[in-house]
Amino acid sequence: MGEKGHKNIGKLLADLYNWVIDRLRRTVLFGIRLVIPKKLLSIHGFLGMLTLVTFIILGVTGVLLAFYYKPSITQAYTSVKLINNEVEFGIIIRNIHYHAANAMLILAIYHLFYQLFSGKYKVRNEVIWITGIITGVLTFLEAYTGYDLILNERGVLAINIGASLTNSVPIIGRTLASILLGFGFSDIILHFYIFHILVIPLLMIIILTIHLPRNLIFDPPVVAVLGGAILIAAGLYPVPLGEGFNPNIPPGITVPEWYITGLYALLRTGIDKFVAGVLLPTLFIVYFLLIPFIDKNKSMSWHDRPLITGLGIAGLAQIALTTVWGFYINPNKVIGLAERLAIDPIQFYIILAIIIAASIIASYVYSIYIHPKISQNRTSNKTVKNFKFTISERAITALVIAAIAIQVILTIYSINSYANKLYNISMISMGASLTIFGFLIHLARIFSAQEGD
Amino acid sequence: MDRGMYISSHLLILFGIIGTWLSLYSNISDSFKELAGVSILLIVLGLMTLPVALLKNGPPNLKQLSPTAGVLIIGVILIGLPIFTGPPRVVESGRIINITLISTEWAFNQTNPTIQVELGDRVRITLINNGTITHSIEVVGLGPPSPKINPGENITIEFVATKEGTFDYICPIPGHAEFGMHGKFIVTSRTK
Repeated sequence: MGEKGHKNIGKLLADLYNWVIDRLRRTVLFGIRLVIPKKLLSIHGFLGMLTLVTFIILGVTGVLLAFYYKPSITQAYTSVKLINNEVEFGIIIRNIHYHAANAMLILAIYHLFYQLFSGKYKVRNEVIWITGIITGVLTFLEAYTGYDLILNERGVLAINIGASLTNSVPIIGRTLASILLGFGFSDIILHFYIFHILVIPLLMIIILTIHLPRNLIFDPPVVAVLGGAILIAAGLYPVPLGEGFNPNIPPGITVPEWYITGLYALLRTGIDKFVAGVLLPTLFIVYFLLIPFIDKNKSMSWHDRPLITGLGIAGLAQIALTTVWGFYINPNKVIGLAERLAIDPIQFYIILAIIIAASIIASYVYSIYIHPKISQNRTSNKTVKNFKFTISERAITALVIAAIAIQVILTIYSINSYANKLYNISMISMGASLTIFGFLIHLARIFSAQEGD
Repeated sequence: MDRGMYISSHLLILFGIIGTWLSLYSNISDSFKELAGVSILLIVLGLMTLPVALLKNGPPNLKQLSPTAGVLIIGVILIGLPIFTGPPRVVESGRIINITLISTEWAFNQTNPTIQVELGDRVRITLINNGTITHSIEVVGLGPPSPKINPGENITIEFVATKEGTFDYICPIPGHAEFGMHGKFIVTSRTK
């Protein structure tokens, strides 16, 4: 009787599942093909999907933060302080949100440069490329409007940068600033809040529907490891609250978040604000937008297109250099503020120009002189090894048991640490547990692949 | 091994190591410490993609592993070594030096007196703000700045003089040190 009952329930569930799937076939969801790979792939194939995953993580944690955040000039900082110190799990949610934002930007940049070097924009992917660049810019704006909301000294510095840049646009600048930012700080914080939680995410979702390809690769182990990485980084470096902004107290010296320091370095060179802060970054973006139309070479590999590769390396090096330079502030506290912040424009722009020249030259030298030799050597002594990774069934069972045991221990340890207010250790062990979970799914995949043989 | 991922995971780790080193140990600028968050994320992401890159089509050979070993050794040297070879810890002398400074515009105690302590002394500076605007106190190089205080309030900072030499004590609020709120803080070697 009991066995039969089980069977009936199983059949009922299967019927229900089939019924739902059958109806969903009528929807747009089945236009997307979600591929779950059967073996370990290079993450380069689905960096965009990983970026999307961090976007979803940010959406979920962002909603949770929005329950407690108050977008007003008097309450913004204290409400974030409340989330950080009093609200249950607030510190963990806030740290995941912060580090996932960093991870999303890193992954977006990584994704961009991988697609650039591998020439993926060629095969009728121009629209995907252009919408990708627009999504990237929106991601940057989303991160920028987000971290100002705390209204600490770093946030206010970024608000000032943004406001002065908007104002610096000739003719329409003042009107634009009054539309986007309103008048004064109390308006700005509400405007940024609405941009951050409504306008920009909505635009991103709309543009993503044009950007996402029809085949999406979703690899659960890698996603679990990415989540683990975010949690481990959050545990190693919990984001500080900073000093709250008080209009009566002049701020100390701070630098903005890492994705704006490049812009900050350009601004501190002292040349015209509009040229340094608006025109040069826009040129940078326009260059990326035009790449598919500049690059007419049929070949997709990077060493056949030395100019684009060289410019790509130059772009990456410029991002790295301006970002780090933006963090530099003369440590001598006795000299004047303007003097401490100043960057010598001649030195700065000459180094940027040298980087471009050196990258292009290096790229040409590689593709003309070095690459042919290397490929000659490689083809001459190329031995194709057909590698097959097999594990005995017993070993897999032992590994699975060990991984589950470690995971259980880490989870208990994490909960215990949270109860004892050791939030760092709690986040690190939670991240480690998630990483091991990813390893477990990967083992299951190897196992099922071997079963299939 | 996957060549593209191999290169990019090494780049991620290398960028992360340089950023972490700048944020933790370099004396180039105080503001580099804000690089820590993203640098650590870069290292963790790089370390987590490294096994995928190395193991994708079978175990790597020794020659392929040497750049990985190089990057990891650079990391250990840059980040790990300063922990062991950093300046020797100064044993506290047991003395507690209490100093009171009164801030007005634009000087401490009207004349910015020179303060002299010995290596290993525990220094307690109480700042009383008798001015008309906000002030603060920092002994540059020996400790973090105090929180800013409004007129009429006071605050105490405490630190151990762990380095010999001549330092500046200043009001770290921008502009104030230039207007005159800075004096000398001398740490001499221990007399006995």
